[in-house]
Order: sequence, then structure tokens, then C-alpha cells
Amino acid sequence: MLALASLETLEVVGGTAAGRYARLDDQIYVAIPNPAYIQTGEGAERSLAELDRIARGIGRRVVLIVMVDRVVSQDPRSRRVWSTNRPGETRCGQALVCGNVLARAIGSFFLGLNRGAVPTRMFPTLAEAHAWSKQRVETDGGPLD
Amino acid sequence: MADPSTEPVGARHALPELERAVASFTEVLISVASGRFDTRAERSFRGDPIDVLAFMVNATAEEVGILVETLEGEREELRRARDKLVLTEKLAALGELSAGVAHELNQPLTVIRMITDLLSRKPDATLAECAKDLTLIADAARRMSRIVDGVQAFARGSSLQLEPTDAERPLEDALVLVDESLRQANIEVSRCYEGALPCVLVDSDRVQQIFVNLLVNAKYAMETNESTGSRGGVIHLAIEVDEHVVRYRVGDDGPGVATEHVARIFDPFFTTKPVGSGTGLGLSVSHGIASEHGGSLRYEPRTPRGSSFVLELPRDGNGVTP
Repeated sequence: MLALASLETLEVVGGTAAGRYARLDDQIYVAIPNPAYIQTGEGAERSLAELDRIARGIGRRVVLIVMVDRVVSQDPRSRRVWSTNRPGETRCGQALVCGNVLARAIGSFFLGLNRGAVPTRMFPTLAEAHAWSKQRVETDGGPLD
Repeated sequence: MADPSTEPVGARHALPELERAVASFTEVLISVASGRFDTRAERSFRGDPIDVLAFMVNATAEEVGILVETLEGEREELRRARDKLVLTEKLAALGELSAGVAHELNQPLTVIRMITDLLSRKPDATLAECAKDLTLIADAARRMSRIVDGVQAFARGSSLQLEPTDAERPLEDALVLVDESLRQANIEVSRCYEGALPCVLVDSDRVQQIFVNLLVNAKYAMETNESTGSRGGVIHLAIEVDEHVVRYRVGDDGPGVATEHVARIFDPFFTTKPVGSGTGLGLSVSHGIASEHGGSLRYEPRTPRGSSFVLELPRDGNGVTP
């Protein structure tokens, strides 16, 4: 099973002031927020733009795994940034790793009130998120429009 | 590292801290209940149970605020769409009324023209000698002015303007607009109004629109009455009053509404008229106007034949949509 500690060993492929993106597998990237990160709408837009850049670099749709455990708050505008339908979408899935109660609360608000633009699921561990993400890539990880 | 959110609340929080937190959550929820969505509970960002609860209370307030704003926006959009429907129906009805209105205007115009021709042949007549003729001209001009006012009021698009109005006034104003077209179709109007009618708190122009729609429909029903084989008939108007409502009935001797159509006659765009003869919005819009006034509009078959539309408006204006 992939431990959280092993995140540190992953190849970092990008980042913003909010944290970094690391490559976990083919077309699967992990967003690792800075500790105790509070996400705002602007922060979410910058993170999504960075993910778009990474996906366009490989020319295929990607799955994003977000380590919500490291997030301590998310405002409503940022929930909407991640769940808005966009033309030329670069994501084919989002997995939220929510291993503690606060992360589950954040994830529940994200999933319950904002039906995502792409399939989104919540998982207690990175390993489970990884397994689901691989399926998403197989099913829907085609080339970008 | 232990997950702080799974530790028992009592192990981590002193009683005063818990009380402060509960009071803070209560404030947020009271604000939400009062329609204010900007109050937030204080967060420690420690991820302990109180902090998780604070996040959830805050996120609930934020999301409820957004949902309320969205709903209000959609309600406003619906209101605008409904106003457009009302206007569309008005324009369609105005087109239908235009021939009758032109004829109505032509009558007093003819009077004015004849009298002025007559006066031009009497250049030496004094003002006193012309007084009777001038009175006739003034009467004719007043009649024209009433007709023009009626058309303007009918066509005006505005928000609901409630004013105490004599109960029979919107119905009689509508009759002024359709009078000539009824006469041309050989249709008589029979009135049965209760003696002392109260005022109703209504937007007279909008209620007038209901009656124009009902009268135009009644005329159409009798014009196309194949069962009698003859053109014309009688429109039966009645106004009744009870403790809470003023009840208007607009009935006709036409064929009535077919049983299979009764459930749909108030649906938008439902019409039994041939293509191009009606928008199918008249009854739907009329139903909406009645509801706006806290009233109702329903269909009842007439005995032995014909249709009757019953409009009820509250006497005191209770139940009016703000």
C-alpha cells in the first residue's frame, strides 16, 4: 500500500503557492497542499490552471488526487471552481483523499452540494484513490480535444 | 500522529470553551434563519471536533446563502419571463381589438366632423348659438379620450399596482374595448350585478386584461357556434359578493369546452383555435394575474350549454403576492 510518507518521493511536476503537484502514475497526479492550507477561489483557479498546463504537456486527460487531509478550510467559491463544467476539460476524474473527520467534512460539502464537472469520489486512503484513478484513466483518459 | 478530530470532546475542551463554541454556532444558525448569511463561527483550524463542527456550520451558512441567492435569481428570471408572456398576450389581444377600437374612435370623429362642417357654414353664428354643438364636440372628444386611455392602460407593462377600485370598473373598462366587435358579431351583453358592490384592491389594468381575454374568448366561441347554426348570442356577466370575495362570471352560449380539454385550458400555449388565431396564452396569463391578486380563475360549464369563467378576487386584497 502506498503510504502518505511516500508522497515525498514522487516526482514533482509543478506547483503554486498553495502546494505542489506530483506524478503518481501515468496520467495520475497528486495535489499536495501546503500543511494547514485554506483554499480560496483564487487559489483554486491558480491550481486548476497549473493542472491544465501539466495535462496539456502530456496531451491526455488526467486524474487529479487531492490530499484533502492537509486542507483545513475551503470556501464556497473554490468548491465551484473545481466543479464547474469547462470546455476542453483536462480532467477525467478527481479523487479526494480524506483520512480525517475535517477532511471528510470538507469533502462532503464538495461532493454533496457541488455536482462535479468530472467524476469525483472520496477515499480514506491514497492507495484506494490510486486504484480508482487507474480505472478512470483506462475508461476516460483519452487525448485532449 | 493522532487524529485530533477523533478525540473525545471533553478530553480536549474545557467547559467554557465548549459553551463559547456552542454560542458561536447558535449565532451563525440564528443569522441563517433570519436570512443573513455572512456570520461565521470562529475557527481554531486544529481539526478537533469543535473545529470540524465550526467548519460545517460555516460551510452550511455559506452554501445556504448561495442557494438562496440562486433561487432568488431564478425567481426573478421567472417573473421576467411571466411579464414577457403577459406582454405577448396583450399585444396579441390588442391586434384583435384594433378593428373594434378604430370603429369606436370613428363614431365620435364622425360627430365632430359633421358638427364642424355645419358650423363652418354659419360663419356669423355667435358662441352662445353654437353652445349646444360645442358641447356635443366636447362629449365626442371625451369619449375618444376614454377609449385611448383604455387602450393605453391595457397595453401598459408595469409591476402590480394595487389600488382600491370599484368592483365593476375593470369589467366595464374591458367592455369599452370590445363593445364594437361584439356588436359587429351580433352578440349582446347581459349584466347581472349585485346591488351594492364593494371596492376591490386590484391592479385595474391587469384585471381588465383578464376580462378582455374572457370576452374575446366568449365572442370567438359564439362566432364559431356550429350547434346553433347562427351567428351571435349573449354574453352573461354577473358580479356577486360574499364575505371574502367578489366573484365575477363571464358566460357564453357557445359550445362549451370539450371534456378532454378542460384540464388543459389554463396551460400556456394550449389553444383550440386554428393556427394563427390565438397565442394560447390568454387563459394562462389570466390565471397568473388572478393568482397574483390572491384570487382564482376557474372554468365551469353552463347549463344547458356554453362556458362560464369564474374569477374570484379577495375583497380586502388579502393574499396578494408582494
